[in-house]
Amino acid sequence: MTLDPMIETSGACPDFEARLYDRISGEMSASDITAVDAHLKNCPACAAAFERATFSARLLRIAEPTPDPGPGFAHLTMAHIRQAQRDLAEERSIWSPFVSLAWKFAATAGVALALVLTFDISQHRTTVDGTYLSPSDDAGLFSDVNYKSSDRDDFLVSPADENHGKR
Amino acid sequence: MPDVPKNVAATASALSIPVARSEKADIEHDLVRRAQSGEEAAFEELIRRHQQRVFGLVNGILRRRDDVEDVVQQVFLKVFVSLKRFDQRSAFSTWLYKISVNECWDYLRKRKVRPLTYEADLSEDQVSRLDGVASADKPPEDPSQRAEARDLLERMLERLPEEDQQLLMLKEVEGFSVQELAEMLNLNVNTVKVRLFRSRARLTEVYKRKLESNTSQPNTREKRG
Ligand SMILES: [Zn+2]
Repeated sequence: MTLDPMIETSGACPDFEARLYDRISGEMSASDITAVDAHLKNCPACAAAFERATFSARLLRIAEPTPDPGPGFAHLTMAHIRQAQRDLAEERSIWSPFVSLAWKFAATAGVALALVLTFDISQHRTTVDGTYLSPSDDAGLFSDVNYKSSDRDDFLVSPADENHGKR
Repeated sequence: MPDVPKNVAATASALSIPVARSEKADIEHDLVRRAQSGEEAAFEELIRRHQQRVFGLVNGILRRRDDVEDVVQQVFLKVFVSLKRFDQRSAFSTWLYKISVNECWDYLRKRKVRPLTYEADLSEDQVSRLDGVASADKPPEDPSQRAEARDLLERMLERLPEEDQQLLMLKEVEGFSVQELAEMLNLNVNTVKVRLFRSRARLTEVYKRKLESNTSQPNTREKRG
């Protein structure tokens, strides 16, 4: 589209353009019409713009409003909407097994993780100096399961005592 | 509502608060409510009531006849899908027109197309025929002459900024009110009036210049035989 740089504005007083439009449209009270007409008599710029804007009606009347698409259109559109809804439902049903499988997998993984964490925490215990020892460590180091080392030195010395210096 | 002062009524109207609802609006309100509760027949009736105006609106913006029907159907599909979210605080038509305008912008953006444009300029012969139509007391009655006149007018409109063309088509051809245009385009009522006034003055200016250039170059007139 080529715009004509010569015709940026209507040429009328800017504060008056909206009222001039109302005057053309006939949406004006009698007193406003009198006031606008008085201005038009004394303002050649507004008068010229008003004349041009009024003349355009002769051109614009050539175009006719878009005709009604007819009584079948609403019915056809409803069918189109139903089809779109069905397509959407179908699309959802195609993916739904995968989606539910993904959710089940996620839920199982979540439960498993929770179990592992709970089990791990409950099986750990605190030594006197506050360090954690696992049960497997416990059994490997001490043959007597009832024996519990009371301090770090005892813990280091006990395997050496059992061997009595022999290999 | 006779007790409501004029300015209060105007404010309420501007805020889309229903002051006095006509019988037609009551019927529409009821249709919307029934459609919201899933009654398809009610929605079909809403389509029937608004289809012509939505066609006019979409056609006024796109002016691509082949696509207008598809876009209008898409508008009604969107309205159907989001109908439950519509709270009826504004008129159904206001909401519908806003969706229609957005759908037109979406369409133009997605397809990366502009509203219908004519590459070729008007020939002198065409300007003369348009002059004949503009000077006549009534528009031509012959459908083919009318179609040609409309085609010529649209070529004149092409000389105006795109938004002005749309405003002119929607207001002066399709019959939307200034208030409706302001609401659907999120513009001030005064702005719409000023733009319409300027667009109309410009249209005549374009036309007169065409005529002048036509008459000032008589030797370049198309030869017919
Ligand atoms: Zn003036």
